[in-house]
Amino acid sequence: MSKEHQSDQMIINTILRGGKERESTLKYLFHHRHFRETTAEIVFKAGGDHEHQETVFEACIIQLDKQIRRSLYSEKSLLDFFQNQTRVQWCLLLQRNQPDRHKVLGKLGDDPDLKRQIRAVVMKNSGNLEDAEDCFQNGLELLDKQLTEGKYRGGAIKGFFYQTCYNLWRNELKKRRTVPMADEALHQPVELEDPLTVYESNLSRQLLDEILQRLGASCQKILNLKYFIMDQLSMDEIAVQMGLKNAQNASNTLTKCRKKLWELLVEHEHPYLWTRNT
Amino acid sequence: MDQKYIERAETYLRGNLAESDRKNFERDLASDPELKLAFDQCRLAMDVVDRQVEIDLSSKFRHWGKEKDSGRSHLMSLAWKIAASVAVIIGVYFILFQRSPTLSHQQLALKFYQTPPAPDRTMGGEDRLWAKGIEAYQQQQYRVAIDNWSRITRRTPEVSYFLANAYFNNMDYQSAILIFKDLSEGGSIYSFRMEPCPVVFIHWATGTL
Repeated sequence: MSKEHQSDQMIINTILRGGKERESTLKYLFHHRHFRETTAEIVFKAGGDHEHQETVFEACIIQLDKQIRRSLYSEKSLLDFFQNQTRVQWCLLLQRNQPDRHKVLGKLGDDPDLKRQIRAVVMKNSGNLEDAEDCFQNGLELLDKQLTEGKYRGGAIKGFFYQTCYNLWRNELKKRRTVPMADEALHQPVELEDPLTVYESNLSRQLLDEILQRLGASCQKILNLKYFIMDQLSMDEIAVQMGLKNAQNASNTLTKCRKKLWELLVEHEHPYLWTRNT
Repeated sequence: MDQKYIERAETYLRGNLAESDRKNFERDLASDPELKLAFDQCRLAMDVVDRQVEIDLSSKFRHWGKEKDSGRSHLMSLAWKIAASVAVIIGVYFILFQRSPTLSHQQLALKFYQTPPAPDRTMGGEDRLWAKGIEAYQQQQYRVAIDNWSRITRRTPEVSYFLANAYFNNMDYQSAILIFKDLSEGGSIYSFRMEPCPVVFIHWATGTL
């Protein structure tokens, strides 16, 4: 077993032990320079800024903690995890937050090199300056749609945008029935990578927060004891921590709390169905 | 709801079922509404707990971030303090030692050298030149003192000693050091008065220390 793998395994084990050990491990990861730099490199390449990098890095740690606690962690190494999860979280951020999406699109729209590249490819292939300008603007609109629909996989965004514009212009040429583009062989349509995997509820955070608020402290506590790391504590231990007589009482309380939770959800008439989001 | 449904759902959600058991569970999940409800309830409980954890972690991130920033700013402030101290030391050094080097050495030597007070008039006898020199020496008019004392033909060790001091204060180090060295070879009380200070100060003043 490699040193790196050993240290990864140690991190996973301490997170699974919970309590202070988990907290100090997560703090260690939070300050981990290499993982941070890995995230930063991917986010910057993907059009994000420092603020985005920070948000994405924190989301990666939350996701790591969750995947380990839920026995869903399956990456070869933590570095792989941070690399893959950064892309996932960045794409989710762009998919869900219009202001961030528009910030990235704005930066691309103001990029003179990118404009020059698109102009070059259009004008080299039977287009004029006006076509190039239209292609660039249509490319930005299409990219916005692609980001919203999750068709972007978190790679270099300039390359992705260039490919989008290229495909737009190629289709335009097909419509005009002119000669195909000169270097078409070099520019195949964007191949989508493996679907991005993220483990999270399909309930919105807002809804979960509302349910949490109405659940009550006692139910929050017993659910936390039971499900934070499933079966870490026996029902006897849960009973002791809850100040209940015995395991049976703890089990009954737990059943009541699950029922209450469900009722709170039904009140919101939410068609709850848990799936592994892809 | 039957507890056995909950236990089955939790076993599945723990993620350590064998492949065949997992497939069986998923098949039953699609056809058994009781099992589906148990599964959804457990899943919801886990989601709520995960959201709680997320909120808790986000607040910890803010705290750790501040810790990091304050640690960084503490380091920065320490670095600034060190830099300021170094700057002050360098500044003082330049002011004292580097600004016009010869002059500042002279000034320092003059500042720190304890010029002996003017002798009693009677000590030099009735010699008019001696008395005028003393008067000038008292008023720190060393040039005048030198003019008078250097004209004394019978130069006692006392006259030599104060003449050398006048030369020193007048920054004529060559003349001062010759007299001081001459005195140091004699056996008068002035030979003891001058070791090692005046010569050291002359070397300091001339930058040859």
